[in-house]
Amino acid sequence: MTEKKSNRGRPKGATSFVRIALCDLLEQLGEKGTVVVSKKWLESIGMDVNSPEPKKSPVNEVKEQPEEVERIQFTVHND
Amino acid sequence: MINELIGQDQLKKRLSFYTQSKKATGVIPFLMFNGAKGLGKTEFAKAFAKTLNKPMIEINCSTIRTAEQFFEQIFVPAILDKDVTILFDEAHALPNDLVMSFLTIFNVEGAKSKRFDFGENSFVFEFERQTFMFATTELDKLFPPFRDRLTVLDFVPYSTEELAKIMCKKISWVNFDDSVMTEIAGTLRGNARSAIKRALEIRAYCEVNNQSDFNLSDWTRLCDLLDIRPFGLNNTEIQVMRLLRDRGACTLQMISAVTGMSRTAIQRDAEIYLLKEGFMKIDGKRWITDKGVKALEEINA
Repeated sequence: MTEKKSNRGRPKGATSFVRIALCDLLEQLGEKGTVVVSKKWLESIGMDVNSPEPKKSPVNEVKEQPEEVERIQFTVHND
Repeated sequence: MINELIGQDQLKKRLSFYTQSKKATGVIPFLMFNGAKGLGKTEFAKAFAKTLNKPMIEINCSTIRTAEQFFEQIFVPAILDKDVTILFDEAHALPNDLVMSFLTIFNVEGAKSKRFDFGENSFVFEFERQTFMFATTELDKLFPPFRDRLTVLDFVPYSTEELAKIMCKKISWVNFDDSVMTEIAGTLRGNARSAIKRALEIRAYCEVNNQSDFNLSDWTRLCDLLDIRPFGLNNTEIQVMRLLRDRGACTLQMISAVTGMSRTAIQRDAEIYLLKEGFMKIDGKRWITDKGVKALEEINA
């Protein structure tokens, strides 16, 4: 059996998020600054979850070219 | 109009009945024209639309990918709120989601209109103004509940006399010898489209030779020029018949090995007509019949 390492995993009580006052953030980033927030949280406060479009790479641009619309072939007989 | 078309007498009677009954009921049943290629399904549909005094939209179903595409590209711009007849040709190729929509739309039991909700939209089908018709060569491929909602009209092969009439109508200025017409019709395999094509070939022949009479020697020459074989046999069919004559009874596998054609292709492209005409029989193995041997003699194959 392998011995269990004592430093494995997240330390007890550690979290990924911290609380910070909005004014402190504004001071640091300014009004035009951007922050990353959870989509779920954004949704919960009633805002649009669609994030701004990512910067397009040449690969993205090729992929996002509008697809050619497939047309149904039909003929109208009026006579 | 319908009665100007040649042949399919039973079908014509039914169509006349539906035209008459529309005056009382206001609607035409959802019709399904069923029959082999070249029997005139589209021509009859067009003539029927004329009888109803409406333009006809002919849609090739194999180009419809989704129900959404149908509603966007066809229904809204060309059908909604219009007096029109719609023919869905090659109906066996309709996409599944559209067939499912049609199950609801055409489940009307005599009603004159039907509201159909699709996504966020609601479409109204007005059956007094819009007549829906379908055509297929492969009725068996249709989803059975959908087929049950349609009134199936079967097309039958044309007789020699009918084929001769179709040709004469197309090239009425050509004078045929009595005997030659039977010869020509015998190569048309009961198919009206073949009759039209042959008439156009004869017209070209007469125009090139600056003549308006067409006799047996002209026909022999045309057959030689265009490789037209007696009974309308094609090279694959002749190859299969020759094989059966020379080697005796064969399995489908053996025919496939010798001809280099797949088993399905042999069954579909050669055997159906040979069986229909009694040139071969299947009794575990494939056999050529006496009639088949005589046909080969006539072809000098």
